[in-house]
Amino acid sequence: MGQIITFVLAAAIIGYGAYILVKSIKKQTQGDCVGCSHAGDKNCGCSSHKAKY
Amino acid sequence: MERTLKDLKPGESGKISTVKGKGPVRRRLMDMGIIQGTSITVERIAPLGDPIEVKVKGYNLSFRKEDAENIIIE
Amino acid sequence: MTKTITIALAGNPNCGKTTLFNGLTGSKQYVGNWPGVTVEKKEGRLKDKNNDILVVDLPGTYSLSPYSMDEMIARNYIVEDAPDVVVNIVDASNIERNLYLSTQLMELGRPVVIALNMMDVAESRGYNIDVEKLSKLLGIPVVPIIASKKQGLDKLVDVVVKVTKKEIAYKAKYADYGEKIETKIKWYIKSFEGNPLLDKYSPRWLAIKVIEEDKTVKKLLNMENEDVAAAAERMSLEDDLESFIADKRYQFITDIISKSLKKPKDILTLSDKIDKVLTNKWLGLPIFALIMYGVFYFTFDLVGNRLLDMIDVFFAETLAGWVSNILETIGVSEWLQSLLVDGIIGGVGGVLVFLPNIACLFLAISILEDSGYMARVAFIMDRAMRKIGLSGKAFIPMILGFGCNAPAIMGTRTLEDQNDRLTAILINPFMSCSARLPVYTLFAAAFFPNNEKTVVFSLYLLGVFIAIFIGLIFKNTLFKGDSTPFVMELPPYRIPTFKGLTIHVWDRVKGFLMKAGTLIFGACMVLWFILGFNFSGPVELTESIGAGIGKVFAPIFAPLGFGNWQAALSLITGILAKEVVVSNMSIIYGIAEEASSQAFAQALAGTFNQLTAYAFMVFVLLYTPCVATIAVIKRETNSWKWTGFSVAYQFGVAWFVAMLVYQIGSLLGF
Repeated sequence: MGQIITFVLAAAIIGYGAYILVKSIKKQTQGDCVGCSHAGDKNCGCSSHKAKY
Repeated sequence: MERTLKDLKPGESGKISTVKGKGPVRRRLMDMGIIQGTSITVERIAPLGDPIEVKVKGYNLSFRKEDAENIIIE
Repeated sequence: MTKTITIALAGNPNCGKTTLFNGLTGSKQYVGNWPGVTVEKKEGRLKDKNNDILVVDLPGTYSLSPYSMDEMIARNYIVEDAPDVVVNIVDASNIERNLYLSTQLMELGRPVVIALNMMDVAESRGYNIDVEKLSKLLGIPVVPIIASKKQGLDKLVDVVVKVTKKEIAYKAKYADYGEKIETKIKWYIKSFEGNPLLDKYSPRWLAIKVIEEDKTVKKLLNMENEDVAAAAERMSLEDDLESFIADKRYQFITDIISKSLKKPKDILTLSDKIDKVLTNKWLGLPIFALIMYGVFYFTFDLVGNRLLDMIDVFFAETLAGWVSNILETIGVSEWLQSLLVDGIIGGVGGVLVFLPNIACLFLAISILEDSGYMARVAFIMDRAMRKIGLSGKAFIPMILGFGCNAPAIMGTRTLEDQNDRLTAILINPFMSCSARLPVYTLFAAAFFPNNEKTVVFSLYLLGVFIAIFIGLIFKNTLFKGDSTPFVMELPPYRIPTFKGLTIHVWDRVKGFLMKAGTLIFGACMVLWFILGFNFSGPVELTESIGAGIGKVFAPIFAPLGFGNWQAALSLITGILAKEVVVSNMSIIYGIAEEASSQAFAQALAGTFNQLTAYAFMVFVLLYTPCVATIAVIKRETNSWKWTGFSVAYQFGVAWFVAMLVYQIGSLLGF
C-alpha cells in the first residue's frame, strides 16, 4: 500500500514541482514578477495581461 | 531691477508679469498656469533650501529657484 | 448588431483617472505597452445594456505639446485612432488648470465629454460649480461624478453613448486667439480645402499647429520647406508665440470660470496645514528620517519578529512532525518523506516564516504612497539628489526599491531625461528589496543574537550609500549631463482608505504566497535532489551534485571569507529568487525539524563566523538581483548591453565590497 501511495504522491509532487518551476522561471524572464498577484489595482507594472493589440 | 519670484518670501504673493527663459521647462511652467496676470503665492522653501512650493490657480506646484528667477513679478 | 464604441480617458495626473477607469471596467482590464515605447497602455471593456464599450486609458498629461512621450501618445491616439468619444476627467477642486488640457483636447476634433470628478472635495472647499452653465460655456457635455464612490458613472456612460449616436447636441467652443492669429487660422483652413487629410484631422487644429511650428504636423502637410517669406511673417506675429497662445487659452478658461464657479477666498486646506509641519524648514528632514526609521521599526520589531517566531515553530515542529507521522503511518518510502519534510517543508517553510515582516513592509510603503507623502519626499530630497546629478523625482523609485525592485525600476519612467533614468535604473537594485530580508534576518539572528536590528539596519544603510556613491560615479563619467528639470505638482494629502491599503497589501501577500508555492516550491524540490544525490545514487551531502557545483565556484569567494560550497551554491540559486538562499541553507543544514535560530546558529557555525557571516550578507545585499528584476531592467532599458553591464557590475561591486569587509575586518581582529 505504501508503495502505491509513494508512487502517486511522488508523481504528483515531482510533476507539479518541475512544471511550476519551469513556468515560474519563464514568467520571471518576461519581467513578470512572480511576487505580484495582480489582485490590486496598483500599477506594479507587471505585464501579465497582454494587450489586445 | 525687476522683481522675480525668487525674491518673494514664503507667505508673499504677487502677480506674474512675464515668464522669461526658453525651452521645455518654461513651456511646462506655462502649461501649469504660470502665465501673465496670474496671482501666485510662495508657500514655502524646501528644508534644504531648494526647490520652492507655490500656490497658483488654486493648487500647489513646486519648482527650482533657478526657474523661479525667470518669473517676473509686477 | 451592436458596434463597439471606443472611448479614450484623458486627464491630468492625480485627477482620479485610474479610479474612474477601474470603476468603469472592473476586473476586465488588459495591461500592455503602447507600441514601440515602454509606456503602459491599459484597455478595458464595459458592458452597458445595449452597447459594447472599449475603454482606453491614456497616459495622464498636463497638456498636449509634442515634447514628452506621454503627451505624444495621448495626442496621437486621439488623432490617429479616432476614438468615438474622449472622456476628459477634470478635477473639480483644481478646475482651472485641468481645463487647460480640455481646451487642447477639444481642438483635436473628436467629441469630448467632461467628467467633472472629485465633486465632494470641491464642495468641502466651498466651491460652488454651476455645471449646466459650465457645459453651455464650453459647448460640450459636463457630467459631475465622484469616481471613488462610483457616483455618476451611469450617467456618464449614458451621455457618452448619446454623444456617439449624435443624440446630444455637440458644439465645442474654442479659445479665441486674437484677431491676428484667428485671421491666419481662417486663411490656413481655406488653404486646406480639398486636402484628403481633413477626413482625419480637424482643420482648425492643423492650422493652429502650423502656426505653432509643430514639426510633426508640418511634415504631414509637406510644409517643411515652405517659403521663407511666409515663415518670417508668422514670426513677426508675436515674438513669443508659445506664451501668447498659452495666455489666450487661460484667458478663455478664466472667463468661463468666472461665470460658472464661485469659490471662497483662498482658505488654508487641511493639506496645507499638514505640510506646514511635514515640509517645514526645520522639521521636514528630521520628520522624514523619523518616518523612515518608523517604517523599519514597524517591519522588524513591532509586529514582524513576534509573529515570525510563532510561524517558525508552527512549520518546523508542528507541521513537519505531523506530516512525518502521517507519511510514516501510511508507509510512504523514506526518500519521499525526506523530500516532503526536509526539502519542501523545510525549504518553503523557511521562507514563509517571513510573511509578517514582508506584509508590514508593504503596508508601510503603501501608506506612504497612497497618502501623497511620496511627492513631498521628492520635494525635500531634490537638492540633495542634485548633488549626485539626479532630481528629487529619482528618489521615489529608490524608496519603492525597498519593497520590490521590479516595480521601482518601472517607476523611473517619470524621469524625462534618459541618462537620469538609466542611472536610476542601474543603482536601484542596491536598495535592498524585501526578498533579501529573510537572509539578513536569518544570519543576523544566528550570529548577532542581541543586535539583529542594528545589523540589518546597517546593511540597508550600506545599500543606500553604495547606491548614492555609484550614482555619483555614473553621473560624472558615463552619464554626464544636466539633471532632469524639476516641476512637480504637490497633490493634496489623502487619507489612505482601508480598502485601498488592504488591496495593496493583500496583493503583495498573495503574491508572496504564490511565489512560495510555485517558484520556491519547485526550486526546493530540485535543491533537495541535487543535495542528496549524485550520478551514482543517494549520497552524503558533500558528495552530491549540489556540493559539486558549489565547489566549482567556491574559490571565487575565498577572498571574501566564505569560500565554501554551501555559500557558493546558495548564492547561485539566489539568482532565481533571493529567498531561495534561505531555502538552500535550510535544506543543506536540515533544519526542518528544529525551530530555533540557535539551531541555525549551531549548524552554520561550522561554515561561517561573525565576520564572514556579515561579509556574506553584504554580498547578498549588493550582488546581481533576481531574474525578474534583470528582465525588467532589460525591458526598461531596451538594451542587452546595459542589462549585461548591470549584471556584471553588480557582481563586481558586491565582490569588492564584501572582500573589503572581510579583509579589513580580519586585519582589525574581528
